[in-house]
Amino acid sequence: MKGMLAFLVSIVFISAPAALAEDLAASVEIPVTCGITLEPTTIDFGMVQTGGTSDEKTTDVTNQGSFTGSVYVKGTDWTTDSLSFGVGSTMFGPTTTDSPLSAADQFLADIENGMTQSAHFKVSIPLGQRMGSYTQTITFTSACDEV
Amino acid sequence: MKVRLIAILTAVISVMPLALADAGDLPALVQVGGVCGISAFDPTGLNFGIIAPGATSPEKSVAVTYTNDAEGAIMNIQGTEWTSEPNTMPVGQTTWRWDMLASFTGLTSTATDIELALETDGENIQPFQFKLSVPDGQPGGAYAQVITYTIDC
Repeated sequence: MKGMLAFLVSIVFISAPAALAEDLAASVEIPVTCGITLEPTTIDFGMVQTGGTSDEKTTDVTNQGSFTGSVYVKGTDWTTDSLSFGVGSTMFGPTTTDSPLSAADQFLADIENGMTQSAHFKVSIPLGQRMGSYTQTITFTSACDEV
Repeated sequence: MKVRLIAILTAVISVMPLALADAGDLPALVQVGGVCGISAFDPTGLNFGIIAPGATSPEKSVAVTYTNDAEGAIMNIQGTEWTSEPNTMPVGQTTWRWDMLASFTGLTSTATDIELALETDGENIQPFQFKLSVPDGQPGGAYAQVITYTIDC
């Protein structure tokens, strides 16, 4: 009789807890981008004497996109309300400031996605340039190197 | 064959005279297994569309249909890394919630209990919301992830 009872108990234990799972497939498309950000977004060369050259300033260019970007840079003339001097008074480069900035795009560097490259600048004030508070706009452009 | 045998044994027990009670007490244990499971997702897949690095998707909703008859049953959720060979993206970039008033929780590769009182009256539908944030610099491609729901009852 005891044997029978033991058998019955074991039958009950077959009804074990259930654990049922189901998979949900998720998907996303990350497009080809090579958008860049600048930090800082403004360069202030401070006070520079006529005929003098500023200290070197840098901005960090970060490729936040998904592909390597070829980054180009160009600029405008330096201007006040009524005065100006040439864009080429600004020198730039990825490591040294040995290239004069121009109004046309010039290559700065290839920047891989997620990476940062410094851009270096300095400005030389032409002799005889009248004093004033001058501004220039430097434009960075990134072209994706999609294969 | 087993079913038939059990029936016979049960019949034998039921006709035993009371005198057998003198044989002593027999401790008996039982674990009653509930019936539960996940039967459907609506939609059947979670497509976030196209998202640029540094951006976050709009909310996506998935209705999970489950069956449960056990008090205290627990639903949990886990996911895999996002993959697009040879690139990956962390599982936690996907966030989820079931309570519209709650903040989103990062998906993990280990099961996370969902603090949700599951209904016990048969088939039920529970909506979940998901969002995906793509990190800056994430390489492009078509990525996939598997999200697994489990019910323990």
